[in-house]
Formats: sequence, C-alpha cells, structure tokens
Amino acid sequence: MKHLRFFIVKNYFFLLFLVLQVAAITMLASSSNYHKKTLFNSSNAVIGYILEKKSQVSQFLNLRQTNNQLLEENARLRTLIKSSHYRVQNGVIQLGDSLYKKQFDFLPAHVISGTVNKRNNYFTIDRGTLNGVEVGMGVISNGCMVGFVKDASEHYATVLTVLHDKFIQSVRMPRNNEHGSVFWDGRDPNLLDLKGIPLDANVRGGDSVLTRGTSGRFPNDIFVGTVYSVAVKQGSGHHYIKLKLGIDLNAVYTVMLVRNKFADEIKKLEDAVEYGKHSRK
Amino acid sequence: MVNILVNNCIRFLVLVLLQVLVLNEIQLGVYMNVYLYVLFILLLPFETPGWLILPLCFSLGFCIDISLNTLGLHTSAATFAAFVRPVVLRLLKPREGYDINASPALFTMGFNWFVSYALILVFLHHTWLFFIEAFRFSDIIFIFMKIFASLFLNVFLILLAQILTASSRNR
Repeated sequence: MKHLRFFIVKNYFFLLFLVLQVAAITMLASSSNYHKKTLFNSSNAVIGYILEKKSQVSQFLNLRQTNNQLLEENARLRTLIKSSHYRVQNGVIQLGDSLYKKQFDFLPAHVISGTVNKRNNYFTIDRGTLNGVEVGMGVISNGCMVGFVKDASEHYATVLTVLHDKFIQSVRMPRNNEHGSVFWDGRDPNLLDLKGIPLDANVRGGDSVLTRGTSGRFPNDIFVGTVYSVAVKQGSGHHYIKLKLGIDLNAVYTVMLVRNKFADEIKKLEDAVEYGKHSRK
Repeated sequence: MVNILVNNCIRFLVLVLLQVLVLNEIQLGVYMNVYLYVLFILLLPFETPGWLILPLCFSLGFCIDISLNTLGLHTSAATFAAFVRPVVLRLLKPREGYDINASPALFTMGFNWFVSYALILVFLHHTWLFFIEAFRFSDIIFIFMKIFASLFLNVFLILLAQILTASSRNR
C-alpha cells in the first residue's frame, strides 16, 4: 500500500496524462460514430448562438456570391415550372394527377460555420428541430449534393459534409447506367473517389455523376460531380475514378434540407427485413 | 502571482475566441491549418505545476473541439503538448537555469531560444494532431506535408502575435 502510494505520488504527472488522454480518445471514438447523438458539438445552443452572431457579420462579405448562386438556382428552377413550357396540345384539361405523389420537401437554411481543410469537415446551419430538421436528412446546395444532418438541437444542426471519413453515397452515371459509390480520401477538397464502376463500362472525362436515391436521403438525380480522371488499378476489375465535386464547398452559404415523406415507410420495411433475418436464425 | 493568473486567464479566453470566431474561418488550402491556440500552452509560466497544466490544456482543446465538431481530437493533442512541455523545457535549459518568475516568451528568453522552443513543441503537437485526425499511416507523406506546412505557418503567426502584443516594458 505504501509502495503504491509512493508510486502514484512519484508518477502522478504521467498517470494524470494517461487518464486525460484515455478520456480524450474515448470522446473521439464515440463522436466519430455517426449513429450516436453527441451533446458537445456546434449545434449546441450556446456555441450555435456564438457562431450565428459571427456569421451575421461575415455574411455581408459574401452577399454578392450568395446572390449569384441563388440567381442561378432560380433560373434553373424556372425552366422546370409549368408556365415556361409551351403547350403543344390545346383542349386537354389536366385535373389533379393521381399518378404523382409528392415525396420530397425542401427546407432552406443558412450555413453559419464550416470547414473544408480538415480530415472530417462539418457545417453548422441555423435551423433545428423546431424548424423540422431531423437527423439523417440529406443536404443539397444549388442542386448539388453537400452532406447529411448528423446532429440537431432546437435551433441549430450540424451537417456531416461529403468531405468526411464517414460519408458514402451510392451514385449512378447516366451515360452508361452504371452505379457505384462515392467517398472522400481526405486530400483534395475538390476531388472525390468513385468506386465500383466495372472496367467494361465506358467512362470518359466530364461524364456527370448523379445520386441514385436508393437510401431515401436524396431524391434521384441530384448532381454530385463530373469525372475528372479515369485510371485502371491492377487486379481490381474496377475503374479508379476521381470526381470533380459539382460545388465549391468553401463557397456554400445557403443550403436546402431534403425531407423524404416516405422515410418512415422505407425504414419500417427495412426494419422488417432485418427482423426477418434475425428470426430465421 | 495574481497578475500572472489574470494574464493567463485572459490569454486563454482571447485565444479560444480568436480561434473559434476568426481563425477557424481561414481556409488556406488543404495543407495549412491555422491553430494559434497552441500559443497558450507555450506561454504558461515555467513553474506551472503538473496537476494544473494537464487539465488546463485538456479544457483548452475541449473548447476548440466543440466549435470544430472534432470532439476529443484537439483535447488529445493539447494534453499531449502539455505532457511533453516539461521535457522540451529541460532539453533547452540554459546553463544558469530558468528565472522562476518568468514565462517562456519571446522577449524574456531571446529569439533563438524561443524559436527552437516553439518549433519543437508545435511540431510535437501537430504530429500528434494530424496523425490522430487521419487515423491511418497509409497517407504518411501527405500527413507530413500537412504537419510541416502548418508548423511553419503557425510558428510564424506565434512570433507575430508575440511581437504585436509585447508591451513597451518587455522590449
């Protein structure tokens, strides 16, 4: 006992370091698990408030760029609405079309803080659960994929961006109808990796890549990026493709959150499948 | 004594606010990350007891982590820097020893001493930080480029901050 006490007193600096280091690493390990809700993050009410005040100042510096982005998006959307289409066949009246049911709602938000030069990058946005934000919602900006909601407090939420170790999204290439998945290797914030495109598929630089919408997080055909370079990795049977991200994440000031109205339905079905798997064992 | 305490408290607050409100917004490409908060660890007085320096740096890293959503990352790196600081100080000890009441600053210890002290400690901090951030050894060249780019940037900023905040008494 005396020896133990002597040992502790003699080496207390090292032991205290060990204790604190273990605490830090435990925090790190549990926060990188994105299924878990963390209390201490930038969607926290106090931090969120400070970041929001800061962004209210810095927003003025970006007004011109933000306006241009919104202008572009408005123009793109205007081409889609009914009044900008010429009616070829007169005399046909369309009543409420039961062939279509609205699946996605979009919720606007401002980015109040964010990074692109870390290994794992997050945005903080100024909308929270009170505005209908839910954990797991997809986030897009100017028609491009940005990330998904990781945590949400009442007034703020954190977005796990494409530039994150834990981000993976299934995508398709409209030109050859192949599909694969994209992720980020942690180096250049403009380039993503695309995996799973077989060697016999015809891939060219500049081909566009869109979301598949299988997870229900994003609608079909949200723009992800264009093919930047194609290479063959020996012995893998797949193309080694680098994607140029469709959006400069450093210049994202407004985003839209995607609410999938069928999300519960999809989840219920998937849970039923999981349940079936377990009960058969 | 009270003066030193107040000074360090203010420095803690100013550096955390500066990092959270201004420096986190500065994105100079993938390689250069601005982490000026390390200056707090550098400037703690020589005689800061071990039981104080570790929790202090732990909480410093924690404040940075909350704002960057990297819970545990900077906490771990700052605690590590606090742990190796006594070793670095012993390594650089001048022949006549340290003045107990002084703190390891640019104008009390001289340019050469302070630059080598800052380079060593910030290098150790960054190495720990960027390797834990990447959590793999496969990108080792990329990580070392990141470490050295950030190291020179941050040591430069630390020197600049020291020069700009020195009162006329110290010069």
